[in-house]
Amino acid sequence: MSSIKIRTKRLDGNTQIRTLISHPMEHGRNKDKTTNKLIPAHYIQVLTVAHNGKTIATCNMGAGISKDPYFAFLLKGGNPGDVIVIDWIDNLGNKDSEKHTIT
Amino acid sequence: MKVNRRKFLKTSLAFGTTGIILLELQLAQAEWVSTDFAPGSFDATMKQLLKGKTIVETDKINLNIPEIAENGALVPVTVTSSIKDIQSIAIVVEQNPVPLAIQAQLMPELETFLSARLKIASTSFVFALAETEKEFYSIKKKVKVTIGGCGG
Repeated sequence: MSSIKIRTKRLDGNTQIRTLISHPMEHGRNKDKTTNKLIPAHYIQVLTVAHNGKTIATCNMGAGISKDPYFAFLLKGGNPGDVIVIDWIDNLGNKDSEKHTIT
Repeated sequence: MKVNRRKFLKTSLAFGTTGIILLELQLAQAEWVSTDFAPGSFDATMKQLLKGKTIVETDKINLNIPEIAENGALVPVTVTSSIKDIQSIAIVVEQNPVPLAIQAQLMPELETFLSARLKIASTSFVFALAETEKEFYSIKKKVKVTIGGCGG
């Protein structure tokens, strides 16, 4: 089960790309209430969006992004059948990738 | 930007391998830099982000963020702009321990549009910065937070 959900929608000749990723986005300053220890930082650092194999967006981020991050982008044009691929990599080296075809 | 890509295409046609190396260099520039996201003061973050470029306040950027956020752990934000040739959008929260929230490099295939959800620790100004080849454009809005975002 991938951690990434992608939805696309046609908007006035453009294509809106929305993505929801399930990720804790811990910034390392929160305490675990039961053990009273700091929860180690765990957050997405880089998110890339590719359209038909070409990277169209690279987002560098810190832990200032909410838990289970949501992003939306607006692609100029976009045709049914175009492939959108979204990748992320976090500070612990975990990564995930998801492919979506515009309908 | 367009001239660069044209140049790049020509080079890659002439020297296939050189083209690949160039591409790798381009990718390397967009890499995650730990110092950008290190805890620090707002001024230090801005200095690092601007890289010597000038900053101009503008009303051509539309920063859509609620004036009062009930829950600072989840504040929806949308940045759009009518300025041409924007290369990247950054969102900076003045009072956060790590002020820079996100920096997104947008290729010309994308409209200048970015939507995300932010953590905001306490009542603070939120800045949206749009980078063009020469300078930065910025707009700020105050967001009042009733419950802080640091509780997770």
